[in-house]
Amino acid sequence: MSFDGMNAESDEELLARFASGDQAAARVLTARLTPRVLGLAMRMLRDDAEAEDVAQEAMVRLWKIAPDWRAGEAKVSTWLHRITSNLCIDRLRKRRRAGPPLEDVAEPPDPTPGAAATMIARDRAAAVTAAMRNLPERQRIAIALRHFEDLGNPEIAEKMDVSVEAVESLLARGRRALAKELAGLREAGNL
Amino acid sequence: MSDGWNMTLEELELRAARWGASTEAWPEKDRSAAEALLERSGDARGLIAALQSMEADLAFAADEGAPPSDALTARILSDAAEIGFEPAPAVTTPSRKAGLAALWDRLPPVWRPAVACAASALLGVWLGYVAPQDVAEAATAMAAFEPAEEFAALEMEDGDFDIAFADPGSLE
Repeated sequence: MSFDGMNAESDEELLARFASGDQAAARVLTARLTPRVLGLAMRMLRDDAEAEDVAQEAMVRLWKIAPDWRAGEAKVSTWLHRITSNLCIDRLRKRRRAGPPLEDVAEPPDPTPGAAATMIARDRAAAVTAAMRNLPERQRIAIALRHFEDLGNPEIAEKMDVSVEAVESLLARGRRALAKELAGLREAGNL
Repeated sequence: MSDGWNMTLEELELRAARWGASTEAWPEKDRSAAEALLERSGDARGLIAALQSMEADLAFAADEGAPPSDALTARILSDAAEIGFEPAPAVTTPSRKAGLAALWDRLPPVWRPAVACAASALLGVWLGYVAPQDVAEAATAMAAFEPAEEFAALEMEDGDFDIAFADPGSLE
């Protein structure tokens, strides 16, 4: 089947093809799924190299589960985003164990605000990524899980090991800060 | 109407975090209190407008993702090739014998005698069609047949008949 023909196939169909030995299906799935996986990881981790490692690991897990994938039980993209956010949370926990709790430490400013502002004019998605990098870690995670993974607040609470009320508070503060930053960028004509 | 409940800006913000910034989707009681606040507070209107705009930006970013570098794409495809699975064996057409055997197996047992009889009848018709000369010759030969001296029909005690060799040595 041609590359264009495969583009019309669902993620589940392509994964079945990959499990049958079709490497062309892996290329289509990579092109289709990696951007969202990488975007989620970048917004959660604030570290592009680490986000790439997470994206690669998430895709490895997808390749490995291919022969056991049961069609109709879940969407491939939903499953992959869950894996990605879990990998990000694991890495953030390891970071915490390696140093003082991050919520007690002021977040450093974005290392490249000028570059981000320039990029913002060209790319709305990149603007959101740049704006999220200025949020404290827990607010950033709560917003990523809510808005990029479509989780409800109780599920976010479970993942972050906090109460639902704490999630609502994190979301309220994070959304306020993010809205303010994005509004500022919009007024400045950068968004 | 807000039933006398004066929602604060903080309460508005918490509910937006819970249900989103579009008040249409909120429970009735909370929505009417929020609408009352939005009517009287410019700060509330500014907050909700900023949150709605931010949610649109986030939704856009969620769909857009981040383009992977060529190096990352190559790493992911290399993993896929390393993990890659064997191609599925080519599908072959089952043999005719296997197909008929499979058909017989699928036939309900109660139908099998009837199908066997029908098949036998068809076979007879076919034989009669393809070899009438041979059959006629066989009928003539049968009519001319007379038992040889070596054979004798013996009546059995239960009334059946059997054939026995009177002299087994005659076959040599």
